[in-house]
Amino acid sequence: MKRKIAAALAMAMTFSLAACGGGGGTDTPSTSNGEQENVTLRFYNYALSETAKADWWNATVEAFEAENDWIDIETVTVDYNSMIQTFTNDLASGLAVDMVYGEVSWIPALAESGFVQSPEDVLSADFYSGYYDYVLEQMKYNDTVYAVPHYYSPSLIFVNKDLVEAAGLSMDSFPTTLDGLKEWIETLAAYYQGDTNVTTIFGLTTAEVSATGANINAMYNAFGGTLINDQGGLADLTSGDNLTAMTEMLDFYKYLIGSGYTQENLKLKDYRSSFGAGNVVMYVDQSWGYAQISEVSDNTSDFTVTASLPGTMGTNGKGESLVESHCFMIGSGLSDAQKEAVDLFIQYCTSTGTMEDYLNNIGLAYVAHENMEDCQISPILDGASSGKDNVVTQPLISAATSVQTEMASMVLNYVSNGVSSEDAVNSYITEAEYYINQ
Amino acid sequence: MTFPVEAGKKKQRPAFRDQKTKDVLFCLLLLLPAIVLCITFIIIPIIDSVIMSFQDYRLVNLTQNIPGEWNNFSNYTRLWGSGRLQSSIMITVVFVVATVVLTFVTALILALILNSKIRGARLLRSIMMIPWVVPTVITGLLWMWIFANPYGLLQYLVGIFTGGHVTNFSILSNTDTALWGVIIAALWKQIPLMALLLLAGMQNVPDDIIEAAKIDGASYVQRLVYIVLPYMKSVISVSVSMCIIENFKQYPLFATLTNGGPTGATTTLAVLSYDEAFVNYNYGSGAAVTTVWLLLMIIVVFVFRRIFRTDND
Repeated sequence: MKRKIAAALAMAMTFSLAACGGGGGTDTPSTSNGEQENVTLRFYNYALSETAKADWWNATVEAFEAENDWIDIETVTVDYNSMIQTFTNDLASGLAVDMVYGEVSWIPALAESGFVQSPEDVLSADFYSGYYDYVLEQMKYNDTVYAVPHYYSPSLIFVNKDLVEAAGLSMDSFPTTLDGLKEWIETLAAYYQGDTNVTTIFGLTTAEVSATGANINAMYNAFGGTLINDQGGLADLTSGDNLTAMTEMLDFYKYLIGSGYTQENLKLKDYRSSFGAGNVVMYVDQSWGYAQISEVSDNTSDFTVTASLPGTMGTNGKGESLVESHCFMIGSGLSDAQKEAVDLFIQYCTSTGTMEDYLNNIGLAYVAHENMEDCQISPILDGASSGKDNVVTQPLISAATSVQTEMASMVLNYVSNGVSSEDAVNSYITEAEYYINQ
Repeated sequence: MTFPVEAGKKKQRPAFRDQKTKDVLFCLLLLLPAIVLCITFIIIPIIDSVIMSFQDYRLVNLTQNIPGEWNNFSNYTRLWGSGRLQSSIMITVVFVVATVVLTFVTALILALILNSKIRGARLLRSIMMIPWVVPTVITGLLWMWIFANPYGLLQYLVGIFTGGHVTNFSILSNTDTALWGVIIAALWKQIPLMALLLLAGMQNVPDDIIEAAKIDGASYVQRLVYIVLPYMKSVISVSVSMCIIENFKQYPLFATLTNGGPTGATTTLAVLSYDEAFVNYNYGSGAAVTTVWLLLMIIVVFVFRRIFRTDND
């Protein structure tokens, strides 16, 4: 009898394991409500993991749903490190990826995997034509636009006005050349020598993470270099303007780190919090870095101002900046009703009424669509306004994240590990080509 | 030798053999759930991963359900040619050896102290449990704050002990010291469990044998080397095996503390595998690293088990 019971239990367990393999997905609910079909959009948004932005997004979605009662938006938090896993798992569970809000660097992976489609096929033509070309250009992957920008930012310098003025300098005469910038740095360093409250005179991030890679690449462009050629390959970094830009950029990092004006291996978020605490005089970031600066204390707007990168950077550099943007990506396989809902939602989020508060108080940035032309931009960005049109675009490649992150390793090799600039660049080329050619 | 036979059957087989067959079948039936589990969740994924390591398998293969294509060992040759594989194997081995040896030695010393009936031993044992119960990611964050530059505790202490001469010491930013930063965090996390396991083993050493050795004039070190440690052989074997495996597959500490940097100085096989598969979305290459990693771990554990083979094995 005992044997029979044991055998029955074993069989039951075996079959229950087999039963675990089954399962089906759930369809997006779509019911009729009068003449208008009800639709649900699953909206994956990286910004929901940041408190200030999450509050704004939740309120915006709620207000949009109140205006469009046939649309239900289900928001899902997703971050860069896990987005593909999240999407893949959700798709396997029958959950749709209808809309994604993320960074430009996400585009290649999402486009290659077939998660997103061209917004040109979804958004109304009149609205789509209102995007500024130079921002939209950065959303292209393999000659197709795969995202639309919400707003954009060039690289700019956050400056603590109070610390600068205390050292006898004036923002009215902020340097427009690299040499002038170095003079400022020296003056500030001399003034704050021995002051333990001021840890950084001019901060540049060198931690080996993707945001740092983009930041270093922006500096390289400001020095007049080009990293990715028009064919999507690595540009020739061993001769001409590119070599000059790379060498001058590396020397600038060495000058800053070697003199103790910046710390090695810090992330942008480290500088943001230190700047908010009043410990950093200047550092290079995107405009929306202010969101994390303002989390530190309530009075950060009193001392925070911005400046463009100097218009003369080294031999050939014009202080040109790469366009960075937060953008909407639209899921593939949407029904017509869902496409209409996505169109309405993106238009709603790209209007002056919706965005003015956000662009002034939460994520400072410049507008990327003519619908927001009348939008008041935060006065904090006034000082950097000359740089907002001094931008260049770079072809998007699937290995962009790794290729840019390796730039941080190159800088650290040269600055901290005693490698010559030639060897550091050659080593970088080997690493970058490894990723590009895989 | 004759066997009893069952009546009424054309072919007469020994009852002993029938019973044995029945027992074997019954055992197999009882084992069936475990076998199905093993095959489904261990064997098939491993085989799948090994097959994937020989293929060009990208994100699109995963999302569009397109089979991977055989690529002539390209994943392995590319990793080897770039030097990444050798470098990450070396870093992994150094990390595992250093962490396991230091964990074992420190844990053994702690276990000996706790076994010497000192005052407050029970309290110490309870306190020692804390690092072990803290999740590994939290351990990483905790040590990241301690190591932080320029406001970390370590930076502060170095500043004090050097009289303010060293002001920019960042253990995780230096290629020579970054791995040791991770090893320190791993030791903090793993020593308590190892110490408690060794202590449990130590307390099972028969007192009468220790007493007999004392009477025979054996010194403390002699008793430790010739009686205590041999008696603890099976406990040492299990706990060190666990420690080796734990550190071979260590990823959370590297992810939170260094992410493989600076300049690849802490890129272990775990970090390399993650980067290839989930940063560059080259699942074939990630699987190749995983296959090498698995083989290496099997070899190391096999060799270790051979060395520590006991009579019971």
